[in-house]
Amino acid sequence: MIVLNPKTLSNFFDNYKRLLFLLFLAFSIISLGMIIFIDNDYYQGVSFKIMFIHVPAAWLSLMLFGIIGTVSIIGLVFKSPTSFIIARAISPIGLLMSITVLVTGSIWGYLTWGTFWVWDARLTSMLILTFIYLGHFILLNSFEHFQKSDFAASILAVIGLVNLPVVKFSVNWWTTLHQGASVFKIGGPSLSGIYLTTLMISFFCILILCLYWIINIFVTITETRRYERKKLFNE
Amino acid sequence: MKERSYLMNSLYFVLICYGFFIILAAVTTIIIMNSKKSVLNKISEISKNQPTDKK
Repeated sequence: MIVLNPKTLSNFFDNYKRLLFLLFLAFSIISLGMIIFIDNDYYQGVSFKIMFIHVPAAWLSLMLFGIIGTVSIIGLVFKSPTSFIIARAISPIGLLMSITVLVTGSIWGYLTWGTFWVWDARLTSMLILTFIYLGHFILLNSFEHFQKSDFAASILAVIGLVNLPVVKFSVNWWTTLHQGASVFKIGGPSLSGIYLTTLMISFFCILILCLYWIINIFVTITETRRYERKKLFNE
Repeated sequence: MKERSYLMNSLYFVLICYGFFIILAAVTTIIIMNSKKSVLNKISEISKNQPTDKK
């Protein structure tokens, strides 16, 4: 029987780290090659190629916050330390992804709309998500006892879950300058052939990189706790 | 000639925009791996200094 505790998970993850890194390298070479040689957009020219970082980072920042919220609920209900460690490992990576979305989105916005920022529903809700990520990360590191910080950050994560459908459906609920969904929508994706393939390969590339980071942070947190226990035991 | 300049423009744009992400990714990886390494070193030091039970 597999026991789902931090140490078991840490050992399991450790075995697949190298494989993940090799997969990331393979995907990144294919993805970069495709991005360089793919045709430019008729209206936007070469600037549309920023989409292959912006969109995967946006999907990942939403997905990762969804996972943080879910494991926080599990942690609060079942008092599971593993759930809290998973949330702790994901938090900085989610923050990084949401900052990437804002930066690449601003560059893309400047090139197509002529401005870095507008108080548009999608952009504003994404900024709120970034602040929630930032708050979650700060809360995780602001108490002396990790149980307290885990509890406080989990409450914020559960409340923050409300923002996820707002970010996703903001382009449908309000009139926005930001374009509507072009992949996950009723009637199928409006992106054609090679563009969709390149986008999906870029997404898997960044997803694997995030998994690699998260696994290493998870192992670091687990080992830090083991170190603290050992130190306490030795004293 | 036109095809070559298109390819170079595309390459420059990708290098500049993706350069930001690649630098970000590299810095993040270095920070994560360094902190992991320092924790593992501390643990191995503690294990070395721990008295053994063998008589």
